[in-house]
Amino acid sequence: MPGKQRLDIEAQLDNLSTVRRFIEESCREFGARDGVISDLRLAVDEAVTNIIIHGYQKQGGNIHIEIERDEKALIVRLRDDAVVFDPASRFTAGPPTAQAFESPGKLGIPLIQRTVDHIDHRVTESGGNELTLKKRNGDIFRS
Amino acid sequence: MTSTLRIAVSQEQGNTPVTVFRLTGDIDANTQSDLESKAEEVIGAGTQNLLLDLSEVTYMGSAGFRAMHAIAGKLGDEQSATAIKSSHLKLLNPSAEVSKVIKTLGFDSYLDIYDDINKAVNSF
Repeated sequence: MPGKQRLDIEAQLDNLSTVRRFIEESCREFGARDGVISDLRLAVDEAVTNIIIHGYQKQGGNIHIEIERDEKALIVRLRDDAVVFDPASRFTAGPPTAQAFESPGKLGIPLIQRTVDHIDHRVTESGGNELTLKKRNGDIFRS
Repeated sequence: MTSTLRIAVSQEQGNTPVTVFRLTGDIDANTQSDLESKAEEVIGAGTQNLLLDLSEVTYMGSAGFRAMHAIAGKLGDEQSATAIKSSHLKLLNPSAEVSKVIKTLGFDSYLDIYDDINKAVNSF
């Protein structure tokens, strides 16, 4: 059942639960398995938190969230107009060290990295960010 | 809808006094400061050992770990550049989902995790 859902939010931390609920409900509608839903919910929460805290420096802004199901994958695209930031620059190989706990992005990005199967970043035409997160490996749908 | 975290505080006596936080709700970047503030409050009042009961935590992301790291520091636990080891902060009954996140980040090597409150309290 291919499909697409969208959510636009103001970049505020008190909108995080709305984002998580949107991802969870969309994933359920698209037939995702429970483990896939929790992974994607976690990854999106961490990514949106980073946009709010680091991208917009808690000064507010717009975040556009789109989730799509195609035949084999769940794809989330996050668009913002904050300063350009490619999370690949913070990828880590091993477990986070104590230093990582001092900065939100240093823990959040390893979590994103470990819970989705593909991460892609591009700079948008307006100079903002588009972050794409995919779950595509294994049996991600109930049927 | 805003995320909420409720914190019920109780005292247990094992080999030494232990403060227990029974947490209900979500630990995210919006509620992280609630947990840190409550911990700071009880530590300021004399708490030396803190057990976090996570059985009613429905969501925890990296914000939860940052809060725990900050709390462990306030409890006087060792924090080097490459490791965090806590003997004064321990966890009780994380859900399967929260346990998965803990293991994903390798945090289970930093904090002791129990599924029985008596064992947890007596471990301090």
